[in-house]
Amino acid sequence: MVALVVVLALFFDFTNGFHDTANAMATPIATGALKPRVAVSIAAILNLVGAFLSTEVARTISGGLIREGGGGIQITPTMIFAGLIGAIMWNLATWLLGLPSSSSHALFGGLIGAVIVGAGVGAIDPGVLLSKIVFPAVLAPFMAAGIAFVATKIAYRVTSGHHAHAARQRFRVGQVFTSSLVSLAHGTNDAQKTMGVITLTLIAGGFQAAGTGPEFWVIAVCALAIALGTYVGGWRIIRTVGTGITDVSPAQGFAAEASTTATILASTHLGFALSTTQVASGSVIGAGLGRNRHSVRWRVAGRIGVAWLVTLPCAAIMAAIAELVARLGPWGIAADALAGATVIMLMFRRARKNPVNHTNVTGEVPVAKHTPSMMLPKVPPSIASAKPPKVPTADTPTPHRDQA
Amino acid sequence: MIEWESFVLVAVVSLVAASVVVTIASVGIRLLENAAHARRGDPGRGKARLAVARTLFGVCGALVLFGVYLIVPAFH
Repeated sequence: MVALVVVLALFFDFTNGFHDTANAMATPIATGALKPRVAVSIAAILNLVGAFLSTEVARTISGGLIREGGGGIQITPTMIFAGLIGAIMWNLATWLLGLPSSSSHALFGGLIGAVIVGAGVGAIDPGVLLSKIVFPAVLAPFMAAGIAFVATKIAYRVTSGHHAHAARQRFRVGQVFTSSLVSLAHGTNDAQKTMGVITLTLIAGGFQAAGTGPEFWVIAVCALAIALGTYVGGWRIIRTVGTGITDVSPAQGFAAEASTTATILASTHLGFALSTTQVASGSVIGAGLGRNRHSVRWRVAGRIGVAWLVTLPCAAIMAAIAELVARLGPWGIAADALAGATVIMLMFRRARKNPVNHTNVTGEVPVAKHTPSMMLPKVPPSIASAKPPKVPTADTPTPHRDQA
Repeated sequence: MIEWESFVLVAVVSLVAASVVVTIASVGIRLLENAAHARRGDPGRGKARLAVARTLFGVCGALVLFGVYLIVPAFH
């Protein structure tokens, strides 16, 4: 059981990595500041390094959401197992739809669902749920959008003039630094969650003394899993954030990333935790508004908003079902694992029908461009089966998007 | 329940930080571009602009390093 949880946790870590590549690298890829392959490599390396750098491993699995430990309930490995299944399912489903949803919310949602079934509603702390998840989730995108709006206005105002267009291309260099900072910050935060989950599972299973930190092998495999996930790259989500919400120019990209970086660093150091995913997406919307308010595709932004709202409940429901089945005993757990593996395979197979990768990530694919269905799984068979022609977008300079 | 104080603090600090970084980088970029064009007519002026632009980029670099300092807990 413990081994199964460790494997699942690592797989979750992997999905976390590839889900969140977009946070840092969607805009530099979209503006051509970094070639797609280079961008995901940088992000992967920084995530790997970041995972080793941080020592602040989560002491509780849920960060206080669930009344766990002394005086509260005991989270069993089975609950963690079911919670992870719910979180992974949701992460993969949103990836298939190309929607940037928060991996942390998926993890918390999964655990909440499993714990409610396993230990009752009383095990959840509604105050923490509201103050740590619900309110920040509502506020983060607006805050990030506002900041990126101002930053974009500044960037355009200051560089306006005769050589505005040429000057604004120079922001690409800055994008390399800002997006790298976001990646590093991501590595120091997100890999820790999986390390915490694995360590607490090992403690619960009696393989490790209570109160001790993560073993070195746990740190190493978590770092590798998140880096590998980042390198594989959630191209679908990168496309949504980089070119789906709005067409990002270098000046906008730089302004958005500077806002994301500033907001993430401020939120982690001043004690108001915000989701990186929501901040990054909000920044892109703000940057779009800052240049031209008609350039934001509200349909796409709306879909992302809906995904944020339903992430936690959906992951919770899936985990609750998994927990219900798992409570039947070893056969239930086996059935869970089998069902999970089947769904994962089906989703990957579904994704292969309409591939998005480093060759078409900037969205300049004639078939998919501007069709709202490009991020839906239910693509008409004629489009889904027709392989998009390979456009060497990575090597061609981004078309001029500055004139607006 | 919701910590409005820390939320406002985070919002203000982020806004100021992002604005400062973007302003410095934008001014630097503008000067750099102007310097490239001014050099033909007035080399002295172009050189001065280039120097200021480089200083501003240096400040940006320092801010990036400060960001790394904030991210890596071992430095605190």
